Amino acid sequence: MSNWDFINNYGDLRNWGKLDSADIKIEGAGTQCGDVINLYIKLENGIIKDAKFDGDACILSTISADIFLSKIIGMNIKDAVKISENSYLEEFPINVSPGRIGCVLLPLRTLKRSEYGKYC
Amino acid sequence: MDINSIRKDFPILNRNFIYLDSAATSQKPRQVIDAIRNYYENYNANVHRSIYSLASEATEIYESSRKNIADFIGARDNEIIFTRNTTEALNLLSYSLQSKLEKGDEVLLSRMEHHSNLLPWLRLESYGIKVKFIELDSEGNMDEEDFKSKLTKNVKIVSITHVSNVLGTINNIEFFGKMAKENGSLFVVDGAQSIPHLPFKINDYIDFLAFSGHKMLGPMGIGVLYGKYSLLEGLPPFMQGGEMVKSVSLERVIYEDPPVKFEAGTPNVEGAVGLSAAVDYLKKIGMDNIRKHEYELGKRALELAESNKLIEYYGPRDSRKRSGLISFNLKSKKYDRIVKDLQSKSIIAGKLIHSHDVAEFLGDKSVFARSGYHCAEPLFKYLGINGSVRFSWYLYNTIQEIEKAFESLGEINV
Repeated sequence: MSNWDFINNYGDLRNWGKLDSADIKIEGAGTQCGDVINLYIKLENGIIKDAKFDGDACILSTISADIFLSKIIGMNIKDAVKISENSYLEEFPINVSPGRIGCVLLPLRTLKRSEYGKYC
Repeated sequence: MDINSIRKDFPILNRNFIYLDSAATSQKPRQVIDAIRNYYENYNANVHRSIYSLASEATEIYESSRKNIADFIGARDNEIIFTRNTTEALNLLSYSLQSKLEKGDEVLLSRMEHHSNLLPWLRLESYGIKVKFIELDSEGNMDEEDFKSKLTKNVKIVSITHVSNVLGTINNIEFFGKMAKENGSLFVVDGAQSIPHLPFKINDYIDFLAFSGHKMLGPMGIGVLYGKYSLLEGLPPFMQGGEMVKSVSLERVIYEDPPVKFEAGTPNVEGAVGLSAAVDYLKKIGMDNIRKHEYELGKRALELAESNKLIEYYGPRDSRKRSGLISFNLKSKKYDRIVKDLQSKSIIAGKLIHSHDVAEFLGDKSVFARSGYHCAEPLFKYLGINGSVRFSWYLYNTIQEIEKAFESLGEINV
């Protein structure tokens, strides 16, 4: 599938929105582009029970945030922050150019910057 | 102008893509590539110093390249300093002119400057020099009244771009230059986006002019700073080292005359040779013809942008005031739905599709366009937008390519 087809055909976002009762609220910003993504994560005994995101970012960051949150819901937060950048990029459905790796990694990097980042 | 025969001169165009990023760098014709090869295969030696015949030939080729480039802009050869690019040319100028400035002096720039014509001047602020900016009107032209009001006696340098690399605006440098002269200010022109595209001759009101070779069919790593000889004579060198001295003792250094005084170290001879071949190529086609061709492409691009309700473009509405590029953003087709229900699970969080996403889509369709801030971040903050997509064309692009690029935009369904 081309990147064009993947983005054009990505359906509605599953995890878009806010979580007022979130235990982790953290804002991530792209270094070059001015993009902003907010992550909201609800924990129960260290397990991610629910997660949402919103913000103003490019499609790639937005889709990546959606995919990333779907992946980590149900995981222990300490394991979620340990996901490596390389393994996340490998799992990501499309290959992106070097200039856009930062877009795809924005949600993961944002989570790693949270207080749980110390468990990385 | 026979576009098909021109395209045959550019080997890279055999690859199947539409290249619309010539404002970043142009493609190179076979004539330039061959000139560089010919230099290395037949003439390579270090210039200016050695006595043997090959070195003399290399020096002759280097200096005749300088002469050819000088002729191209109507200057004298001893007024052409070779640099790496426009950025280095403007840094050279900022460092060398610093010795002529005093605390409280002012430098006047505009809101549309590329970082190359911004950061070298902003660095002077730490020495007590004030940097001021000419405001823009709603179409992205420099506000002449604002310029007049800011052109005070303290303004020692006015440095502006001839053509905006974001807005495409062709600025009336004659107006700004003559006013600057009347005020006793030095007038500096960033010609990176104009020298490759517009017929141009140096005028008396221009004290310094910077441009890059790689944007005008030449190789990367060669650029030019033009300076009036009388001014260059009075400026200290920017860098010190080999080549740029007449005599050195531990007590005393006598510098070479301009331009060599400003070219420390072994120069980029292949670059000068390549740029000279590029100038020959541009002269053969004719700068008037190139401008006319780019204008036609620009007119078509503007028509297509105007007719697409999802496109928001920037810069003058009149093609005659624009050079060969258009910057724009694409509005999301799903935007209506988003404003109806901000909490809806929609794919786009903002009104405009991010320019990197648009460039990604276009790249998939082999349409190569630039996205982001185009090294003019303060301009985007001033305009209140987060980057743009930019199509920029040159003598080798066709109307069909412009039409195909806009057609591809229509296939984005987000």
